[in-house]
Amino acid sequence: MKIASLFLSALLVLATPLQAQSLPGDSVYHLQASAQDANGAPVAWASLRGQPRLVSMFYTNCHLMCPLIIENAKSVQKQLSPAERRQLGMVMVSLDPGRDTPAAMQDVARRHRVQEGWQFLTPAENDVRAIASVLDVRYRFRDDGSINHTSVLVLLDAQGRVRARNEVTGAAADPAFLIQIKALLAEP
Amino acid sequence: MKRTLPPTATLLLLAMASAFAVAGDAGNGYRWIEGGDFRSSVRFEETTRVLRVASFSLMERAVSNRAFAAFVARQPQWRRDRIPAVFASPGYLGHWATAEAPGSALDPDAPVVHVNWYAADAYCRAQQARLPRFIEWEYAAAADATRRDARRDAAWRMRLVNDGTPHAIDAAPDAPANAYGIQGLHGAHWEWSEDVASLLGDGDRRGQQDGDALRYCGATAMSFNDPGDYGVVKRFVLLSALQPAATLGNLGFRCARSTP
Amino acid sequence: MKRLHTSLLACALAALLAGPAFAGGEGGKITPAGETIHAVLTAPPMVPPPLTRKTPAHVVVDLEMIEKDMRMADGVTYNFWTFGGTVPGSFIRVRKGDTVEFKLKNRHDSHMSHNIDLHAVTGQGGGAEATFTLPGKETQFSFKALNPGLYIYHCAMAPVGMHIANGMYGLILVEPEEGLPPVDKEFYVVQGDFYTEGAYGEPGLQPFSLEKAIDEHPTYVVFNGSVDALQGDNALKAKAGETIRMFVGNGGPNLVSSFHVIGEIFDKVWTEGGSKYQENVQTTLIPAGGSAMVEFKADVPGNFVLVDHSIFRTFHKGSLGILKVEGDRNPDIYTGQQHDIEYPEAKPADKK
Repeated sequence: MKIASLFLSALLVLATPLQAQSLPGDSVYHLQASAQDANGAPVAWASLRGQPRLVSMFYTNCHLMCPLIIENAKSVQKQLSPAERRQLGMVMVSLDPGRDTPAAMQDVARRHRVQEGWQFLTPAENDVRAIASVLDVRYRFRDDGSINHTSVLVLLDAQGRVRARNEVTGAAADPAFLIQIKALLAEP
Repeated sequence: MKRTLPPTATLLLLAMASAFAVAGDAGNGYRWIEGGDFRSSVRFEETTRVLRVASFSLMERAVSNRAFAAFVARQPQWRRDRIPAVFASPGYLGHWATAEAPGSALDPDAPVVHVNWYAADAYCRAQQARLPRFIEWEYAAAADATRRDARRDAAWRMRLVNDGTPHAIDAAPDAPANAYGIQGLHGAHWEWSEDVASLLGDGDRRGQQDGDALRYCGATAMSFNDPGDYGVVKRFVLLSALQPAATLGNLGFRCARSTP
Repeated sequence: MKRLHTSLLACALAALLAGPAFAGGEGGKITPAGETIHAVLTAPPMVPPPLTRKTPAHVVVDLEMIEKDMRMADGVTYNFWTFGGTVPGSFIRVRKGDTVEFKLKNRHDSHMSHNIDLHAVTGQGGGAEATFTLPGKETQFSFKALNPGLYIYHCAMAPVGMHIANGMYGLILVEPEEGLPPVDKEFYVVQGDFYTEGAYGEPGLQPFSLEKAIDEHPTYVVFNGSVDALQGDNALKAKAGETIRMFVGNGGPNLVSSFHVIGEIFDKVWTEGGSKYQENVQTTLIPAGGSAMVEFKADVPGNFVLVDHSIFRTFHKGSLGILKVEGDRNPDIYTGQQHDIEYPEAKPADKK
């Protein structure tokens, strides 16, 4: 009996680091960060692991570039087959936890009529910088509360590795980026 | 009758308690820095010249090899042989003798270098602290040994061109602390700031007055209120180029805390 | 409803109209022309050999930036920032039409970032925006040498004045398609002004003086980075009868040079390093951040002194170099002293 439980605990001991080790070194999910979604439910950053994701950072009080980011992301989705759409998780992360409450995020989702399944995440206040760092999104708060930030769609694979980036310059999806997305989704 | 401690004593006890809570940082407490109006040498186009800096606390000294080794022992995922690639670059803690310890060739009290932003951020977070913002560094570093803002002293300011080199005015380990009690701000090492990624600088700064600074959405053309403040210019230029995973042989850090 | 910031509006419009505004990382590629050659770089005062090829090539330049303490004068050292470990930096020699693949390294122990602006480059910042190089890194960009001429290159990292003042400059020669006429000797000389806290000659490691640099009051004005870089054993050497070409630059940062060689006349001066030459010139102006190519024949032996003819700086700040010419005298051209005798005093005019 003792041997069995020892064996089990040994397995557990092995299993946990194995679980961690199986996350590739360059995965963004090594970052310990927490957020809440548009319903106010807690979402650990690392819990996004498991499917390819299209991630961007924005803030709800942004009236020019951020709408373009969302529209561009929608345009990407439209160009995917239904199967591909199911595979790719859409994640919009706030740069401005102070003002981007779940209600504000829900409002944005509604106004842009995004599909079911989009995740709107508000990180914990002191996690924004770290998330932006792993996604290489640069941002700066201006005096008037607006934010200068890089407008980019980041393609993550299921393990959290950055596979492609696309600078958003308009509402239409970049064809070259689409090719990269489809190629990733076609991988086993 | 219940006796309550006078408020100052309570504060003192609290301060001491928080100082002692900083394990592995003996002799490196936080100093409170009173906020105020401040004319930064950096000017983002939309700001006024004078900014309000809120009071904050800053570590007296940069984080040492000894303190960082203690941190790495408590959080081994930050060892150079365990750190995930997403956070690190090849030079991370490369100068330490082993993955655990700096080794006898390095001064344990010297600032730890070859650390990246993620590791510095994690260290500060473990202390319920954070990295200082660039303007907080600038605000604290405007002080010399006796004056809180010594920048009008041209002779003193001229010496700051040596920041980041062994000839810097605070390079010696026994260089005196400044008027806020902070030591080594103009030392031989640069220090990470929380908002390095916000210093939206540009590789070639010479033609920047032309207004074409659209590298980032709504990007500000950044310029310097005082281009003669070579110490700040050099620091800004260097920090703004860094990726969070990067390390340098003369780049360390210290932590700060917001006042509640 | 928040009022829209005009700059935000401008951003969105420009973003919609313009292409990618992001300059970092992946630049374009140039189709290489001709064979690939690794450029021979030389330390001053030597110059790489003249180019013999008649077609454009793909030239790879590999240059490392190094900060090091070096001698400024007897007992005086200075922390120079250099291209290739020397002041001026390595001489680069290419040909009009070449595609230059420029790799710039910043040594690991540098305390800050550096970059390069080559005046031979047509393109943003002369290459500066593409070569922002942190310590331990290498950046690369490529450019086509569109114009022939003799061009200064220098570091353009903020604060620019300080980087130039510490010695980060050199020359790049873009030979014209027909090449340069052959000469017997070629030399590389660059004048620069230096600003130290201590006075001229004060011993020890002298820190840079920002105040003096802003006031444009140099402590040292020297050729090739130190007071006797071109004196004594380091004097330039030639033989009587040889034709000599000097590639002369002025790194500044502040001063203009009135370049003259005592005892010689420049047969030809390609003023400002351009394509036309003036003949029979005694003293030529070399702008800060500029150059001149001078040619003359060393007809007679002697010590010919390179100076900046703003003469006080030559004798008090160090802008003095020697060209030692050896060989047979030629009294037809120069006799040396022919006599030294007493001469009768003039009688006063009113004495009868």
